[in-house]
Amino acid sequence: MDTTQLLKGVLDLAVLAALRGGDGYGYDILRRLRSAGLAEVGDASVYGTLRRLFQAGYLTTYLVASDEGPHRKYYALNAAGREQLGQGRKVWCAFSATMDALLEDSGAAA
Amino acid sequence: MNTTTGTSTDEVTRYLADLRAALADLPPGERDGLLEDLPEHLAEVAAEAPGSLADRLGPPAAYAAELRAAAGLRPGPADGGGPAVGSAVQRLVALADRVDRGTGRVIGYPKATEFLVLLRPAWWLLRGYLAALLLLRWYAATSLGLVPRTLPGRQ
Repeated sequence: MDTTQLLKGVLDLAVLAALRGGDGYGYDILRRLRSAGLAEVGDASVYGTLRRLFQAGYLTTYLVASDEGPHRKYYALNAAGREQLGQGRKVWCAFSATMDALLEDSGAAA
Repeated sequence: MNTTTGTSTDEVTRYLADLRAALADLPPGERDGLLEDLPEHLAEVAAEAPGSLADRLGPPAAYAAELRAAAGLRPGPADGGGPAVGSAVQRLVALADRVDRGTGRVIGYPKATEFLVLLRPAWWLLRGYLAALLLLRWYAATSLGLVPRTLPGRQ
C-alpha cells in the first residue's frame, strides 16, 4: 500500500504533533517527522502544510538569528493549534480503532 | 553563507527562480508566503550533501505543485489537467502518424493505414470464417453434450 496517499490525510496532524515537543524551523520539523518513521514525507509537503496551518491560525512564527546564515523562521503551536491537535488526535484514534477492528475481522474471516 | 560554495548558491538562486515562475499565477502575497522559508532550506539542503537540488528534491515544477497541493491551493496552469494532457495526446497522435508513414514507406504505400484499408475485403472474409468456426464449435459442443457418453477412466 502506498503510504504517501495515507500521509496526505494526516500530515496536518503529524506536523502539529511534531511541534508539541518544542518550536522548530521548517527543516527541524521535517527531520522530526522523518526520524519518527515518516520517511517518505516530502519537503514541499511540509512547507506547504506549515503555510496552511499558519494561515488557519494554529501556529505563530518568530525569527531567530542563526550562526550559519540568515535568520530562521521558527514555528510554534499556539492555543488554537493545541486545541486542533487534541481534536485531531481524538478523530485519529477513533478512526484507527475502526480500521483495526475492520482489518481484524476480515483477517479472521479469510 | 560560509558553508555554501559559489556554485550551490547559484543553484539555489536558479531553483528558487524556477519555483517562483511555476507559482507565477498566484497573487504575489500568497506566492511570497509560500516561498518564504525556502531560500534557507534550499541552501541547507544544497550544503549538506553532494548532488544537484533537482536530483534530490525533484524538478522545481513538481516541487511547486507539491507546495501548492499541501497549502490547499488550486493546481497551477502547468500542473496536470487540461493543457498538459492535451499536449501529451498531441504528442501521441503525432507519434502514431510518424509510425504510420514510416511503416507505409517500407511496404510501398504513403501510409500503412492506406494499405490496411485496401485489405478490408480480406478482413471481412476472415471475420466470416471465424464466426462460422465458432458456430460450428458451439453446435458440436451442445449436440454432443446432450448425448450421454462413457469416457475411459469414468463410470
